[in-house]
Amino acid sequence: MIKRTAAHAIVLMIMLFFSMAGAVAAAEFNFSIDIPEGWWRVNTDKYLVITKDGAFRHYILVQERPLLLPFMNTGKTLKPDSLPSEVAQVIVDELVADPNLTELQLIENIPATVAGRPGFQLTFLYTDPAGIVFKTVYYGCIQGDRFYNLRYSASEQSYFEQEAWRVFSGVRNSFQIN
Amino acid sequence: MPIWCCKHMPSWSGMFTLCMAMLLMTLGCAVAPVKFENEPFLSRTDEQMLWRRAEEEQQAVIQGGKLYDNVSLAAYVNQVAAVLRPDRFPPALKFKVYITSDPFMNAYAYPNGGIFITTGLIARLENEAQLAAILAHEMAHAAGRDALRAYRQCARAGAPEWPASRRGRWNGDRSERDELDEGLSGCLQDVGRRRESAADACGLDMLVQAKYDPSEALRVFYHQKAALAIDGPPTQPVAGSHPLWDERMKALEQLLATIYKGINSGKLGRAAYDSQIQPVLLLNAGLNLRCGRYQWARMDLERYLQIQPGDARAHYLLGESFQQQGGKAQIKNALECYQAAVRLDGGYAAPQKALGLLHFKQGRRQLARRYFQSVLALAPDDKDRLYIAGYLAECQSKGEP
Repeated sequence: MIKRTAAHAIVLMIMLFFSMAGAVAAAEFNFSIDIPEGWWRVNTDKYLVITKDGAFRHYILVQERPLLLPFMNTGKTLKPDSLPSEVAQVIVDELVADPNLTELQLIENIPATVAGRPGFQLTFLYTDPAGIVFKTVYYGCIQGDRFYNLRYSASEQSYFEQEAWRVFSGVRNSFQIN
Repeated sequence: MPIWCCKHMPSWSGMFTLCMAMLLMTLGCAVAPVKFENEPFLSRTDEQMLWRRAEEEQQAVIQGGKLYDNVSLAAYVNQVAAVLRPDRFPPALKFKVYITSDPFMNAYAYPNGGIFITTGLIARLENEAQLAAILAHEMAHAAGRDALRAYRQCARAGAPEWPASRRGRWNGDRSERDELDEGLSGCLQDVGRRRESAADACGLDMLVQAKYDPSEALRVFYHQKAALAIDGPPTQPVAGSHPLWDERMKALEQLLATIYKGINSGKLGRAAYDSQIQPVLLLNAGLNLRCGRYQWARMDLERYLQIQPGDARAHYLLGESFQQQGGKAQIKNALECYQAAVRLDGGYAAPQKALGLLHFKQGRRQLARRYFQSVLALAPDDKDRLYIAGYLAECQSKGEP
């Protein structure tokens, strides 16, 4: 039995209720993105997930979460005055502690501007329980009492396929916090 | 079987898992009664298979990169195990102790004599006698062939409620293992309950024969109780007899008051233990910090600082435990720890970076700038150098204070 990561499992479940979207904003969240033509929006009230060829190949996930909500694996929380480098370290610690991610390899941890705010960019590789190597680029920033993040994750061989990376750059540029 | 099992630890000891896997392979087969009279080690196929699986699992752990690489400490714990080994144990059983980098307290034995102990448990023990008590208990499980006993007893009982269609399909997947857990844990716990007490008694005898202070066997239980007070009860189902610590403590107390009455002292080995575990305390503090276990990290560091009060890295990590936890009082403590680290080692960049970040967040840009500049000079390749450069630029663009 193939076992997926938690994120993939969530995506799989909610794909039962997928819907198609054009260039629209996600009104139920405190953020918006332009959903690229031909990408599917997967409905969930926790995340905004879009994919073109199925989430097991690649997906873009956008999330907002309260700062004080403890992360699942470390129990760590963020603070309104946490600096981007500190937030990035909390996310790295969370990734390291995630039992579903093996052979985690942090490639890059650098400052980045996210929705016009100071944030960070992480790039990392990991192997999921099925043995598939995924590459993820993860952006995050704090605004008010919430932590916003968006990530592009794809199996390593399809990472740069079908212009998905270019699409993600467009999505990232369109990302706005309301 | 593990003597410890804490929050976030897998509910599976190696042996428990092995029994599950073995049962799946042979359900429905006739098995021998759980008696070992005149049955030499490895004379039957089920025990041979159990040992092969044990070897495979150990190799997976060893190759998984979690072994703690400390030759001196590994030699030390194996030497303690060698001293404990009674002559009556069969030559086929060869003990080898491995240490894993894991901040949670745990120790467990495989049927072939492989014993794993975590840095989290080593960091909590107070002396060599307590380490010996843990090792003796685990060695007693292997010598008592408890894995085989559990396997045979549960197989004989007929693996309850396990769907035939899934036989042989066990592949290590967690959800299937959870179902296995539900189906068989009752049987294994029944065996485990009795065998834990037997291992305690055998381990206590080994401790006495090796001239260690036997009362230290009781002290190890106090560490577990302290862990429960900090972490709360385990969130996952626990294999074996771990909820029965009080019962086991009472049984040990009774043995000490009767069979071992009059043996009120023995070797503690505190100095030897302290000298060996210093790097473990620092490593474990770092692991605890990464897991958000700030109180545990402080316990490691406070103990380390009792031995090495002038260690800048320990003061810095202690500061991190306060700073990451947050809160006004904790930030004040963090500041003091970072300052102590800088005083002790002015060339150590980490506390200077931490001080720069603290001052930066509190709007003291002049101070922050000074520390950030120092960090970039001391550690131009610091992993956060791009962040630091950005903060520094912000300090300079905004001017004083």
